Amino acid sequence: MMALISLAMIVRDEEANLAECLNSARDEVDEIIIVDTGSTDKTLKIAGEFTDKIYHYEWKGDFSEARNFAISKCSGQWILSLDADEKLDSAQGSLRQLITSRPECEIFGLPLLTSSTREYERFTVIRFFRNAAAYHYVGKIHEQVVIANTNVVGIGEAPVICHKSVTRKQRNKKRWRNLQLLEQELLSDPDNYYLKYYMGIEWLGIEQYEKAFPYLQGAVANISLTQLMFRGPAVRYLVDCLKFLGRPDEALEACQKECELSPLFTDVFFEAGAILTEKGEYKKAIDYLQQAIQLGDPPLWFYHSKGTESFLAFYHLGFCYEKIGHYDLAEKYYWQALTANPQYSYPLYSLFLMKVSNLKSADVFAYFKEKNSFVYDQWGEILAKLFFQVGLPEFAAQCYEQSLTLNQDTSITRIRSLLYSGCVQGTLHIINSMDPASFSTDILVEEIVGHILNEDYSTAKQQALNLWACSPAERSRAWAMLAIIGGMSSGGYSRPEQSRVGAVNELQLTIIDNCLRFSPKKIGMTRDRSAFKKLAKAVADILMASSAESNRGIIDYMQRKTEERRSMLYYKYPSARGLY
Amino acid sequence: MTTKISLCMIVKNEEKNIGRCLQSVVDVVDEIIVIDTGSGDKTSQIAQGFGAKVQAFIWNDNFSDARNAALELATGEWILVLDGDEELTTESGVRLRQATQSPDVEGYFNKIINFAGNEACPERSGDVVFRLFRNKGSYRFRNAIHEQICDVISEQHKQIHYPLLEDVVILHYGYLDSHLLAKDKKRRNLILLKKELLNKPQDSLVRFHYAVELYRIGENLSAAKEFEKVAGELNPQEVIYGPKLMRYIVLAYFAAKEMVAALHAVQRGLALFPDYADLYHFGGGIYYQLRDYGLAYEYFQKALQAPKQAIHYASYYGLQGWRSYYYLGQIAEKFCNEEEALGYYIDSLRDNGNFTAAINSIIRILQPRSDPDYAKYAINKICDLSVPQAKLLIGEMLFNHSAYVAALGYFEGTPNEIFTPPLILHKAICLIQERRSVEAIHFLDAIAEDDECSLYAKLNKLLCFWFEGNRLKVRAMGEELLTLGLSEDTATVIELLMNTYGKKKALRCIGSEGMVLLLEIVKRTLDIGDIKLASLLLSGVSPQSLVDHYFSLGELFYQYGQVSLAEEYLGKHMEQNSKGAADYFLLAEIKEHQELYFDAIDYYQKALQFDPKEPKYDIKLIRLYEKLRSELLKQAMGRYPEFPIIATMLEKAGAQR
Repeated sequence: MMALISLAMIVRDEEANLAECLNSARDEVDEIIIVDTGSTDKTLKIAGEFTDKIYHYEWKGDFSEARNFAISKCSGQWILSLDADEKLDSAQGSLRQLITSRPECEIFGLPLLTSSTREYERFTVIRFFRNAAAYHYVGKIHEQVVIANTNVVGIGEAPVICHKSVTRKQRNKKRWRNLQLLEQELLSDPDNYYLKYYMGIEWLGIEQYEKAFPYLQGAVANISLTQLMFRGPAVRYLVDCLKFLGRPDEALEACQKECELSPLFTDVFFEAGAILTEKGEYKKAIDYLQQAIQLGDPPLWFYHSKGTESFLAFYHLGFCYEKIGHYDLAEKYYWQALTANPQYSYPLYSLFLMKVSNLKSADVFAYFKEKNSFVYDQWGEILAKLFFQVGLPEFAAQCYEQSLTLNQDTSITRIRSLLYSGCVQGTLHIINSMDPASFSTDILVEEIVGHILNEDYSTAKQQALNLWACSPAERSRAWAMLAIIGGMSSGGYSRPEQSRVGAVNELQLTIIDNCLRFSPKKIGMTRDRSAFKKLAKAVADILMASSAESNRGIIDYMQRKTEERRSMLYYKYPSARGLY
Repeated sequence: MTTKISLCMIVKNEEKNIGRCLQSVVDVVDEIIVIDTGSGDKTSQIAQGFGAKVQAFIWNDNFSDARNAALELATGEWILVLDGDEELTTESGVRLRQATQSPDVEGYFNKIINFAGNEACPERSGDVVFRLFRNKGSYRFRNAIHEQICDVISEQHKQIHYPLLEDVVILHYGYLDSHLLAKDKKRRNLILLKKELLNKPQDSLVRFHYAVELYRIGENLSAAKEFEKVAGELNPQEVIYGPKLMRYIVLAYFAAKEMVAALHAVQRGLALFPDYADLYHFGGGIYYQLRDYGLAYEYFQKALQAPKQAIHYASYYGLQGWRSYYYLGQIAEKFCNEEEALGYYIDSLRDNGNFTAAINSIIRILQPRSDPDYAKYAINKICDLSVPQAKLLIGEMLFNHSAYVAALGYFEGTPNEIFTPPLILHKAICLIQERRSVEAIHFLDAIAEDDECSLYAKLNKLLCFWFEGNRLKVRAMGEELLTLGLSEDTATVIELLMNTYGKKKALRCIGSEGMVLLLEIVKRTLDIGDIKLASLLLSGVSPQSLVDHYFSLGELFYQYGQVSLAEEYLGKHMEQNSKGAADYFLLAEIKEHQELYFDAIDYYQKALQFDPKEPKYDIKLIRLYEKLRSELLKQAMGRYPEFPIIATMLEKAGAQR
């Protein structure tokens, strides 16, 4: 019997990816064809574990030729084309189902998900088609399947192709190669807007926005709405490019134009809203963002960046409402964003800032507790960091008491929260019982601070010497601690050598800063306000008496604190900045 | 050729007003028709005195019927409608007569200025009304209440336009509290409107008027709901009362303390009428109330920047001037920006010279107690003091700020004849504080025994002796006072004064009323600089009586520069009470004063944690850091004069300043 589905791949040096790819696809296909264009690693060996139909093909700098060669080896009625850095996710439906459910179709577009800085982006790509002479690849690079009759093209919801994310470096290496190939190709086919589209994307990828712009602009102007698979992303990239070029008005215009042309294209509504937010036109932004939410996940043939219909839009809405003083709505949308995607935690930061600048600190903690913010450990950690940051270690420490896993936390923030809320005994206890694997020199520094607060200078000194012994890199910090111990126990300390001054200053200033954060925790406090003030004062005296450098350090520190406060004031009262 | 104008009025018990009304039009109209719906006073006689044709009409709860009865009697070509509590401004007459000469006009809109609220300081707002139209048999009023005729005339013409006579101005006093009280108009209107609403549940205008009356009697939430209904039934941009409707929604929610709803109403209103100053002003007021001073600042600025308001916005008087300026001054003070605040208060005062709150704020900022000469210099520049009453007013304000030296300056510059007993007393107190006892007692003795101030005058005489340490006279005066049947609290305070120097002292319990008096005495003792005496006085009071006042004492001692005593009292307060932002703030100020800067930082932060919405705490913290920075810089310069980095930093800091 003739095979139904053939997987056709061209590969070179893909030992890192190939197995994962083939594993994901093997049950979906009846035959696997691998065309190797010259691997020098274990690619062939891995391929051999999945199939015996491996062919060698001399690379001629033309992707289409290689792909067509692979197709020529296929015996199936259908061809699936994948790259090694892709995976097939058939959880929602198989290729076979797709064929039977849409008998009129000969070519299928499948969703391709790529993860990026945003949650993920969804493109539609032609990767599944009948094994017939009419369907072959053209184009040396960014090769495409020739589509003679658009009536036989179908869009499948599943299976989904997942593109593996690569490091920037790997990606850029490919981009330069691609740019060269595309340039050549354009020489022989100067009016091909798909080539221009890809040129634009490559330039954009290596942050050459001025170069990318004309290509993307040309692509958007010439790729029609019937080619949504390309037009959608082209518009999105053009908008991105304009934003990077610092031309938000044109970016907005491009979005607004596309909103009219493609009223179902969620992403452009979101983008328009985001640009308007940036421009401070909050009320207009709200309109667009609401529309993006209403449109929801767009139909499959639209390019889509996940979250623009949901948590990203909610987050932006919250921000806009906050800016225009509708705090109740801002709060509502921030929570909606968090509920829609708990991993996306920016709204939590916004909520925290909003609450901490409006409520008594104890009420801020009670608020987040009441909102069940500690069900996600990730949120609990963020809140703890934020509480510590704004000078409320007492509540930071309490965050860690809200769940069993958080209670096991031995991060530096946990240690500092406990220490600077006066629970010195408790802190030392945790440090002593810590798994050596999670112990770090940062924690050792805090342990020394704990002994100093306890006025146990001999243990403090012992541990400071241990810190010294840890590694040469730690010696400046050890010196800083020894100076403090010396200053506080005997009143004597020596000046650090010039090369250490910077690092010594930094640590000593951090200790002052942390001491000034002190807020007493009701349960477990063993040292009170006066101990922390004494330490802060002693460190400041040491700094002042040390050197001109260290004097400058503490003066700069005061400057930083002024600026910190000012920016908080600016956050709270942006429109009254004429007054302060 | 002149046209004949008939004034048509309906009245009931308007004897207090109708004279004013008719006097204002008697030379403008040719005929006066007065329909009396049942006056029990001299209304009819007064009207007849102006040559009016007065006819009685049995009130049937229907304004249109009564109005139309007047129209039936009118013989002029034109009708002018006025109410008893209105008058026409003098300048309006000529323009009004001119207007009746235009052949193609069936009627006119004109301007009305409504005075509302308190007589002494009324809320003023302009609006438009339809009161002048041709006398035709088919032009008759309709609606039992808020009767109207404009639509009736419009319906009889295919196309009609009513010009606006901006120079014809009616003044309406009927919304003043005194008028509303006298006639119980609000209730009457409410009952009538309720009836009308039953007949015409779909009529938005009736519902609007009904909601207005609900708002007037303080049924704010119900009013807001009714206004919302109206706004939901129509497009506010399409009715003349749309702007007012949106403003009423805001005001009703605001009065009901529904701040969030009020804010939403502001936003909705501004979406419809983006240049409406009143919405900005009241929005600013809401944000101010919510202590969101940033947005409040923005909104008041926008109220001031809004263009001149369209007449149908009926914008309240002063919102684009003194009232918004005053708020801006208050906000600037929140940010410890006295200079800016002073500027806004002066702007406010320039816009409305009678706005005493602005003067009072100016005086507060000038710190007249610590710097009386500069305060005087500034006040004389800012205020118009050409009449003696103005000087007295300033004197009183200074007195209320405990700036006795400065106050005395103004009191002494005013002739004695215009001093009332309370003013004499205040002047005497200033003299006591200046230790000019002889003169003080002279003025105190001038206050008659039967005057309300007499007791307080005697008490001050006692204080005068007490400050001097004249035990005999204190005793004599005290005994005299104790025979007058004083309240228990006051008597205790006097006994305390009589026994201040006694060796064996029983601690005295004093109630809250007595404590107010006692704190006043402590303050004045500190003012004359006798710290020991103040402490001695307080040592005779039982701790239970003081416990609620430790904070005030701490503040008082701090204000008068007694930092360690201030700290002591504040400490006692914080021991015994739950601590709050204000406690930590005062503590921080004390610590800063004592140059314990890390403590000060700590306590300012604490204050902020208790109340992050008080900009003052942020500002003080910033200033402290700045101060620390410049002090450390100076110290460093002393220690490392040869070190170039420090010198450059110092230069930069100098340049920044």
